[in-house]
Amino acid sequence: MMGCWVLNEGLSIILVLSWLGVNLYLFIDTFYWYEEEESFHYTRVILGSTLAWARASALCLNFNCMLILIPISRNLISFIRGTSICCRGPWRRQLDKNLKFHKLVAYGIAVNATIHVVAHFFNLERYRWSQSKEAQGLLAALSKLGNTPNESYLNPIRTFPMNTTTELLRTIAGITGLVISLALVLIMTSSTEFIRQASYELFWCTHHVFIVFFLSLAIHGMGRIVRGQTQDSLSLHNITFCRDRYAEWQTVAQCPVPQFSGKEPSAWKWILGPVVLYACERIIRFWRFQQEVVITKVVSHPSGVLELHMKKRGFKMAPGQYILVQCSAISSLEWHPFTLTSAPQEDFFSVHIRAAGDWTAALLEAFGAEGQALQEPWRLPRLAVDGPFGAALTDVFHYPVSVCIAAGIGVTPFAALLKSIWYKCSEAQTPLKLSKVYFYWICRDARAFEWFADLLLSLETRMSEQGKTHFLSYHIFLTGWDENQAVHIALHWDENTDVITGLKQKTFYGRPNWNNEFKQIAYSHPSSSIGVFFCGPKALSRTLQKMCRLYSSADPRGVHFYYNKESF
Amino acid sequence: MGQIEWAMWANEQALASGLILITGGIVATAGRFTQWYFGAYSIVAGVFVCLLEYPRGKRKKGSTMERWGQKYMTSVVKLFGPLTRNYYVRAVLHLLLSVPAGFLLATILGTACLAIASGIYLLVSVPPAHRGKRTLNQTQCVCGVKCAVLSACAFHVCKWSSVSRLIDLIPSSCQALIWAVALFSRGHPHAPWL
Repeated sequence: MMGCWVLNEGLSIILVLSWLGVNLYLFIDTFYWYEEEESFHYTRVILGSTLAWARASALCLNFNCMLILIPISRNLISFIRGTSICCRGPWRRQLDKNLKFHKLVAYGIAVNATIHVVAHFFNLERYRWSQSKEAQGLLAALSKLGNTPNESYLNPIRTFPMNTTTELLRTIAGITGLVISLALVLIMTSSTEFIRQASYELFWCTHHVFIVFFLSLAIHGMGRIVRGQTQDSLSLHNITFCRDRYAEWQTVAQCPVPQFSGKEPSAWKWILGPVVLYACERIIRFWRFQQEVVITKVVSHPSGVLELHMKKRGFKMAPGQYILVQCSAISSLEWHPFTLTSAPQEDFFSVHIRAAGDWTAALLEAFGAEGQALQEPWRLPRLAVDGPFGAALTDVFHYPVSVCIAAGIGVTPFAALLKSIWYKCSEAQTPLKLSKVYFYWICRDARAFEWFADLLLSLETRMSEQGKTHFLSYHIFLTGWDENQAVHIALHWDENTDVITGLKQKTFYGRPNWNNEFKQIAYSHPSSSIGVFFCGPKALSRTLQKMCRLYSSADPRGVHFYYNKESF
Repeated sequence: MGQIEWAMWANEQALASGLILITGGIVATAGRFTQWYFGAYSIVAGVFVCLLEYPRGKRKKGSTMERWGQKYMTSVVKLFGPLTRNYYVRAVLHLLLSVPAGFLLATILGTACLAIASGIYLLVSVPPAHRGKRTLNQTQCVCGVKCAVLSACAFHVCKWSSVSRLIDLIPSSCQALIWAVALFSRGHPHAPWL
C-alpha cells in the first residue's frame, strides 16, 4: 500500500522537496558567506548578523520571483505537454499541478519577504543608532566615514535623523520596498479561496498588481545601500590588524581609510527571463484576441446554460482542454476559462456556459438567453478566444481502462471526451488502446441533466448500432430529490428507459458507494493500469484519491489506479 | 464590476493588516526601537482588529464558509451591535487605528494595509442607490478631501508627539478623534448634528 502511494505521489513530493532544498541551500550558503566574508566585516560591525539574514532572504526572494511566473505560462506548459518525448506518465501529471506549485512559490515569497523586511528594519535602526552621539569607538568611526571628500561612506544614513521612516522614504530601496510589500499583501488577500470563488473578477484584476511588483523589484537595489569594502581597499587595509586602530586610520600607512562600494542590483538578472517569457504569453493572447471568432450556433438550455458553437482559423483542440474567453462588450480586461465541450473531430468548437457571476450573467443576457426574442447574428457581441490550454483528460486514451467521475458542472470536460470516444470508435482503422470507459456523474439537480442527457442518449444509440454496448458503462447519481420525484420514479421503475433521463441505464439515487464501485472495477480488470479522472469539489477528490490508493494492488503486475484531477 | 462583494475583500485585507501590525509591533518592541511604545500600541491595535475581523460576515447571496472557530468570536462581536455591523463605522475605526502605527517604521506597512482596508469598507458603505458612476467619483473626491484633512490633523499631532511625556498626547489625540467624527459623519443619515 505504501509503495503504491509512493509511486503515485512520489514525484510531486520529490519536486517539492527539491524546491525546498534549493531554497535552503541558497539561504544557508548566502548567510554564511555574508557572515564570514572579509569585505563585509565592517558592515557587520554596525549591523551584526541581520545583514546576513536580509541578504540570504533576498537571494531566496530572487529565486522564487524567478520561478513564480513559469507555472502560469500556459502556452509553455501546453507546449511541454505536447512534446511527448520525455513527458510521459508521472511527469505529465506534474504539469497539471502547475497552479499548486505557483501557490507554493507564493508562500515561499511571503515567508522570505517577512524575514527580509524584519531584518532590514533592524538594519535601518542600527544604522540610525550608530550615527547617534551615544555610539562610540569603531562604530562611530565607521559611521563618520564619507564625511570628507576622499572617503566613500559605509553608513547610508549620514546624519542622525528624528525618525527612521523619513530615512526609509528617502531611499529608492525604501520606497520600492514599501510598494512591493503592499502589492504582495494586496495580491495575497484577494487570492484566498473564498474570494476566488465569491468573485473571480476581483481576484483577476487585483492580481495584475504583479506588474507594479516586478517593476519595483527590478529597481529595488538601484540605490546600492548594501555596502562592502572594495577589493583594492582590502588588499591595502588589513582588517585584523587595523580594526582596533580606527583612531589611526588617517595617519598610519599600514591602515589607509577603507573604501566602500555598493553591491550592484541583481534582482533584474533573475527575473528578466521569466518576465520576457510571460510578456510573450500576453503577446500571444493579444494576437489571438485579434483573430476572428465566428459564432455558428447559439443554444439556450432551460437550465440556464448557454451553448456556443464557434469557429476560428487554425484552432486545434484535444478533449479536456479549456479556452479563455473575452467579450469586449462586457469587459475589455477579463478573460474567463471555460472547458471545451466539443470533440476534436467536429468542425466547430463549443463551450457550455452557466450563469455563475456578473460576467457570465451579462454574457447570457447579451446572447439572448434570458427568454427575449431571437437575436440577429450581427447583433451578437464579438468574442475573443485564447487557447486551447491543456489539462488532464488528454491522457484518457493512454490507459486500457479509464474511470471518469464528474460532479455537477464538472461534467463539461467529459462531454468533449465522450464525443471524442464515439468518433474514435467509429473510425475502424486505428485500434484504440482504451478498451473500457466507466463514467460516473453525480448531480444534485435533475434539471441540469437535460443538455448532457441528449449527448448520452445519442451515444447510447450509436454504441449499440456499432455493437459496442459494453465499451461505455455509465452511472448517474442523483443526490438531491424530493418526495414527489421519488413517488414518480417508484411508479415508473419497471419501464425500460429511465424516467428522468430517458436513457436505458437507470439513474441511482443518493451518493455512490465508492468502495463497492472500486472493488468491482478492480475485480473486473485484475492486471490493468486504470486511469481515474475527476472534475469536481475537493472533498470528493480526497475520497477518490484514498480509494485509488486503497484498491491499487501492491503487486506490480496487479491492478493500479492512477489518479488525475482537473483544475483551473 | 457591479456586484463584487467588496466587503469580503475588505475583511480579508483588514485581517491581514491586523497580523502585519502585530508582527511589526513585536519586532519594534522586542528590538527596543526608538519610539517603541508605538510598537506596543500596534500589537494591541492589531489584536483588536484581528478579533473584530475574524468572524466572516454572511454574504448577500450564496453560501458563506465560516472560518474555523469563529462562533466564539461572533457572540462577542455581536454584543457591540450596530457599531460593528455598520461598515461605515468599521471604515472610520480602521482609519483611526492605523494612524498612530504610521509613526514607526516597523509598523508602517500595517498602517498602509489597514488604511486600504478602511478605504474598501468606505466604498462598500456608500449606499447602492447613490452608487451611480458620477456620484461615486464625487463621493470619492469628498472622501479623499476628508482623509487629507484628517491626515493633516494627524501630522499636527505627530509634531506634538516629540513631547517627552506620553500623557501630553492625549488632548491632541482627542482633538483628532473629534475632527474625524465630525468630518466623516457630515451628511450621513445617522450623523449627530454638529
